[in-house]
Amino acid sequence: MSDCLIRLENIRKDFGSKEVLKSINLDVHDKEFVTFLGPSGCGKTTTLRIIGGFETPDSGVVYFDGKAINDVPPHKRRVNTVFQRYALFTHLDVFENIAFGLRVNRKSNNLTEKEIEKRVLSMLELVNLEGYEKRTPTSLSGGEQQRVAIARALANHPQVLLLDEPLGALDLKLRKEMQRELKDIQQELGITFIYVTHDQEEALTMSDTIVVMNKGIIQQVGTPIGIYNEPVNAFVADFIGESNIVPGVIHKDFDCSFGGKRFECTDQGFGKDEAVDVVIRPEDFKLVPPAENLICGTVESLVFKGVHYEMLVESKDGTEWLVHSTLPEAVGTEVGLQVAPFDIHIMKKSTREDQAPADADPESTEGEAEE
Amino acid sequence: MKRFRWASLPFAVYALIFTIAPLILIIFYSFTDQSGTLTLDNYRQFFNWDDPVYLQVLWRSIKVAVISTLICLVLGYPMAYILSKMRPGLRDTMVFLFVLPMWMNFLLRTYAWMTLLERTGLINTLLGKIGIGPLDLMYTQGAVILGNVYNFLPFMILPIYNVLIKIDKSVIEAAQDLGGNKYVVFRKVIFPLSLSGVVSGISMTFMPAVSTFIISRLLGGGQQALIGDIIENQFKVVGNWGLGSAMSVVLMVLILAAMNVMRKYEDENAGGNVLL
Repeated sequence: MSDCLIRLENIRKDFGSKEVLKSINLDVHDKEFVTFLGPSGCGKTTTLRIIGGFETPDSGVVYFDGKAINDVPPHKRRVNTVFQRYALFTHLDVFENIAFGLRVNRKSNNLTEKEIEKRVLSMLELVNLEGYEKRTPTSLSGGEQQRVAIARALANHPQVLLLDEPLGALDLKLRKEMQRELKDIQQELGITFIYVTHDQEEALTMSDTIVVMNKGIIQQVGTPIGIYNEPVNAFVADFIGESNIVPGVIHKDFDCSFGGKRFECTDQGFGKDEAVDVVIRPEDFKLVPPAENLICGTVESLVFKGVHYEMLVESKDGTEWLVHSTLPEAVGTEVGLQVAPFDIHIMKKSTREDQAPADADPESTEGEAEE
Repeated sequence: MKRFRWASLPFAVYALIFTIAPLILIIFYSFTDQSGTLTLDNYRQFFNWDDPVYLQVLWRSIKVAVISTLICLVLGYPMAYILSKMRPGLRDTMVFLFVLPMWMNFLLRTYAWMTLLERTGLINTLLGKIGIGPLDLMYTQGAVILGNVYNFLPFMILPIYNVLIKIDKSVIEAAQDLGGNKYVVFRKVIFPLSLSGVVSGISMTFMPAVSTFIISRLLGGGQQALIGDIIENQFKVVGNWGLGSAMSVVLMVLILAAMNVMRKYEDENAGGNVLL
């Protein structure tokens, strides 16, 4: 693709005996908001650090604008990073923090003191921190520190901004606010953002493209809607929102069965009577009176969740179905679970590679990668 | 925490008996003569511009201490920096090695230097083999400075090292990320962030170096007496406690003033806390 800005080709990385990245292939396009999403230890931070230049891949090539940059040190890459714990310079005030990159690159960017000042002030305006120039980082709240970190990273006018779980330490309300602002900033500046998070909602809210990762492998690349509605395997389905994943069989195109009943569906292209995983989102079930052609069960629990109620319905064969509905049914009620054909998602059985239980505790590797 | 305040009581009592009371006594003695009447004579005698023998010793002490501290800094900072860059296992071993000589008695270590520096000592023997010397290494200012540096270098290295290893790695990465090469990152980020350790290190080497009396007596002989030596002399040989106390007070005020200047500088520059 012509507008491919960053290309990762067969990137592998081990930390000691632990394989962190197995074979990463990915294109990131200009002006795209890409999110690496996955659980702790999936390799998302390591991938970001490889793009930033803080880790070297054991094999594979990183291309930037068509040129291999494996050997280019971080200070010569046209990317800037917003670090997980802000990493502000505590011995400098807010102004000097943001001006740091401009002063360091003074020889190449030919900025006068006046221009630096102008740039810093416009950055402060961009992140809504006007008047904070003389404050010290330690006197700022977490949210304000994060804004300074963002302004500092953007001051150099990078082509790509890397963000490593930048909102992780903020409370929910502030996080939502910052999500919106970050998206606005990205669109206003028209640059590429590569964003790392383990929060699926954050990924769905902000991204143009989501890259779901697990155990050093890219599971799926797609738009938020695409990934939410058409997860390619049980891991993705489970990680992106809550879902019911049950074994089933697809008899022929548009015809499947699971939970002991036969259903019409919208999937095709599978083998005859192929064993598959069936994914149904909890909000796609409709609770109706029990009927012969429906999965039927008893409401086992009822929890109020704010916008909706969360119910567990246990069917005769012992399967528990998670159901979200704005209308509650009392515990003990017999119900039928109705689902529309297009809400039944059929997936190939996950291969061993994706699903095999971890050979080690997944927390341990990411820990190393992130420290 | 309030409930455990009583736990500081033993220390308060200790400090009262062994620190505050002697301090008051010394200040009191410095203003009295042999018979116990109040007087300023001790200070007049010390600050006697017509016969500035004591002031000369004080000046020499400060000079020796400043030179020793500077050498410690020049040797200690790079050492601390190299240590902080090592991988953790090796690092701990190296720090252990640096602290190891301190397990040996301070006097023994200084005596060891005497046998090395003597005209018949190891160094002169070796120099003799290649046709140099023997040189007068002992009883020189250089020998005193060497003794100071040898004994107090760990006190410079450790505080700097402690600050360096605590610098968040991502702060260094951020500086690289923003375009700083190795030198820029060191000059603009690592060094400024390590200043609190430098200030502590300077304090912890300057203080003992300016008030030492053993090192100067053993390695400097009579010719290189420092303020610590003449204070000891007043108490143990001359028996003029008043003058000895006055000298101690002058030295104390001097050290306090120096520390204050350092702390001010530190506060303005890094806003960090001093390990004093």
